[in-house]
Amino acid sequence: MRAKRLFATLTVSVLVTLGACSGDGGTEDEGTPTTEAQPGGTLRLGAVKDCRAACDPQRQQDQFPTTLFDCCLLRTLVKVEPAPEGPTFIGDISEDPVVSDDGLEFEFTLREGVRFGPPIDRPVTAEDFIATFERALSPATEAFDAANYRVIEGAEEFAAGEAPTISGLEAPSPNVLRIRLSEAAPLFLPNLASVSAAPIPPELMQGHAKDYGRFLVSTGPYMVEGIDAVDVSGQQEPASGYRPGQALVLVRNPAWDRASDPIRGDYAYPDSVEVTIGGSVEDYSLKIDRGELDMQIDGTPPASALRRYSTDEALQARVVTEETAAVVYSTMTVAAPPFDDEHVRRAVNWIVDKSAVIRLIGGPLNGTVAHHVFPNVSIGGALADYRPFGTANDAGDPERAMEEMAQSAYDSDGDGRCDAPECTGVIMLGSPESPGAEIAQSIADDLEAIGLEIDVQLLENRYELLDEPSNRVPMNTWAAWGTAPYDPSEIAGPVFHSEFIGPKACCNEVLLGATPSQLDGWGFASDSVPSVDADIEACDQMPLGQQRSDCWVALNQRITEMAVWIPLYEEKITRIVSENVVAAPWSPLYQFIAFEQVSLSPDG
Amino acid sequence: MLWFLLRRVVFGALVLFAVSVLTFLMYFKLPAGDPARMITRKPTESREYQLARERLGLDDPILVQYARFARGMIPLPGLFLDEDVYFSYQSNIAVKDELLLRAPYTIALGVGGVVLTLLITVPLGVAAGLRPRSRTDSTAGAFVLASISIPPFWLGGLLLFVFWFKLGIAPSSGIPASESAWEAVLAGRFILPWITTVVALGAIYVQLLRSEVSEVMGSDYVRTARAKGVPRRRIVVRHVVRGSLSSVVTVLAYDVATVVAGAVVIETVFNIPGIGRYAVEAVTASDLPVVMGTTVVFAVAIVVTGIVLDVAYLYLDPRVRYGEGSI
Repeated sequence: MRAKRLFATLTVSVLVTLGACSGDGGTEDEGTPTTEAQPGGTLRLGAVKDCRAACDPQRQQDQFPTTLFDCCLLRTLVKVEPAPEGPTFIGDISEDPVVSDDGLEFEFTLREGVRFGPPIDRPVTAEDFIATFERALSPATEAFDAANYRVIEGAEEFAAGEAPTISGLEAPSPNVLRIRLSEAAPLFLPNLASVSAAPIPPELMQGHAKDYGRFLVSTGPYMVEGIDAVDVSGQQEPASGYRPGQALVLVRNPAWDRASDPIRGDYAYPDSVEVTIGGSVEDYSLKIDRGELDMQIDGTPPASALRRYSTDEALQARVVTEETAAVVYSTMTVAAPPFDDEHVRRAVNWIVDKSAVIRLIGGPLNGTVAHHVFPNVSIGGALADYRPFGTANDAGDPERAMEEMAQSAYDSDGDGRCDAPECTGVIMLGSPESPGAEIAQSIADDLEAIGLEIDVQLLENRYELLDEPSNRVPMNTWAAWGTAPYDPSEIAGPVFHSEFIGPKACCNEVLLGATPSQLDGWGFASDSVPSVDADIEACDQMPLGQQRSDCWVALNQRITEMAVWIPLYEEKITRIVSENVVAAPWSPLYQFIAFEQVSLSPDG
Repeated sequence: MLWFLLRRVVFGALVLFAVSVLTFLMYFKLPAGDPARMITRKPTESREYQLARERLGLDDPILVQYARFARGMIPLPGLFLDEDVYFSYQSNIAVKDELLLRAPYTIALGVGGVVLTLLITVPLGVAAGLRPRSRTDSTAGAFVLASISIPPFWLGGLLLFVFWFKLGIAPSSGIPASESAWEAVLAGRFILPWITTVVALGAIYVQLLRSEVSEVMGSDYVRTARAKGVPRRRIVVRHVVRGSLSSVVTVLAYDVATVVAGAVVIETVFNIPGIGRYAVEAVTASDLPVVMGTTVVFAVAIVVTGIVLDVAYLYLDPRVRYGEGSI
């Protein structure tokens, strides 16, 4: 009895403590401060996931640390600014590039004053770029975008170990780099904006094939704390400023010359950047509320926090949101019944309640309904009003869906419901992670109205099944793919070209372009499926510009109307910033918040 | 005694071997994914993928692959957790380096947590055992109930919410880059994690001591001591507590090993970059070298703890002697 009374007393005490501390947090919600911000201060960021591959810029492309590479650590030859009429190129380390008329030769003149930071502390030269490309193309590096550089003349031979150097790379002088391609590649120049093409000093390449990221030498306004203590010639200990799984600290790079940097030279406001690694989005949200963190890099803020901030006028200014060139979708394999019938696929597109999906992802701050396969941003917004399966409030249209289904061979009585045996037990793979699981169930519930009984299977390793066409998986949901903000080729090819079918290639799960013998070999009853290979190849060959954009727009419409996907939503990047942040501008060059342009309140 | 220790070490090595084989086989039997694809993220026809398979020896017979890992379990310089084999598929960082970086935080959490647990639970358990059905006994009972009922992840979150977020009197989760484990301890960053550890571990100590002390108080030798006029305090300290501690030491030893090996939940809730989190993240990511490396470390910790425990018994309880028949 006494024990029960004591426990009750303890419980009540806790509850009273909680009740007494009502309100939104330990700090007053004042929204964005109105005091004038000065350069200075420490920008405090949070990263949910640590770097892969020891933060090697050639071996990983995750949001953290790539966003920090772009703004603060690694300069590249050029940067790309997306525009509706086609991207424009801004010289970063290089002056404006000179391109030959046939698009096969490029000449880059490196700017004066561009130097490697400590411990190298010398000018960046053309030879450094040659060494960097060689490292990227070396199979031992496992560079994520080595394929982008294989169009350089001699690159294939070098990568195969048949040549000691890449014949298409020349350095006629220390500050001039010439690149010759073996074939026209419209995206070669914009691909040089990738951090994997940022110069790496050869002095630190030796012995760091797997862990260069821990010895990262900066060319930007900041450097990893402690990198100046690395002994280049002797026993090398990693820079102390990066503690795997814990934190990354950036400090000002003394070797950076503002005058040589047209992109960042006017900025570099914070004195330092401290990144906490490994916390959860909920943890970071609370810290932002208390002003102990300025923003998170990766991960989406909790839905509850987004709701609170977006509905409170005093806090709305602290929400930064931008569209991305990434789309989330469900796939329907065109060879697998009942989706081998276009009417069934179109009926599915009519019935799915996309507004429910938006609610499940936490609202319009996290995404906008997608109406076609290529993200709007990637085609310059040309199809912003194109909605071939548009419904009132994006809630789905059962009538239209049933009309479509009635035309299908799988609806024998024409009542608008799929009634063939193939309509039951249709497997849909999904992710067990939230909200993927909820989205899968929501779609499955919608499809019931047109007679499709979906068997939702949520698997961590679903892509191992999807990559093997002989598994004949009919549907996959909550898949995502992104592309460059100026061009949808990174979606078009890998997701719809026949070259990318199967485990040896990935990721054309819908099997567009599969040959009859392939289909037979995988056990499909269908002996032919549509193909868009020729359209993709035609668009891909065109130089960047209006003609290429128009080509992608037409292809987008064709694939959308084939209904091989259910485009669900286009992702947005949404972040909440603390009250210490006076300004957090979005950079079209980095496609993220420009951390070097963030100005902090002197009161913070 | 020497023979006994030698036998324990040999037995420990056999345990380590069995654990490593089981871990390795489980990894291969479960759908853990293709490490080469995980590292390169390239199609299987690509050169990078093929090179990665060669580099990792994935096409070697399973025994050969295991032998590479087994070699890294030999506790000799240059062999133990060999960097060429024991490196993370995700981060490429040597398992040894990560363990060395993370160990201080796990040790700070584990040792501090256990010390605080003992400081609170031993007096409470002894006092409860000395005064059955008193208010002290009721308090101990309430503590035991709370400790058993409250999940550590919930308690940790609650403590953070109340003491950090609402009241602002405790530091937030995470350890800044500028702070070593010792500096983090001095900054008070481990107080809430330690309190969580006390609640997570404490029930069994209080309950054990309560019952042991009660039992020992009624034993013949204690009655004899009382009859001889030995002061109560001396009876309690030199006879009762000492006699009750052997079972506590058993539990303590394995709790130390478990907590030092990694209090995963507590490390996760408080964002402490410790070994436990490292191990769990590796399991989730199917990062075999890290899983094997941390398993080796955990197994060694448990085996060594067991040996230390057996030696401790000799001191605590003179009735215990290890004869020829002992393992």
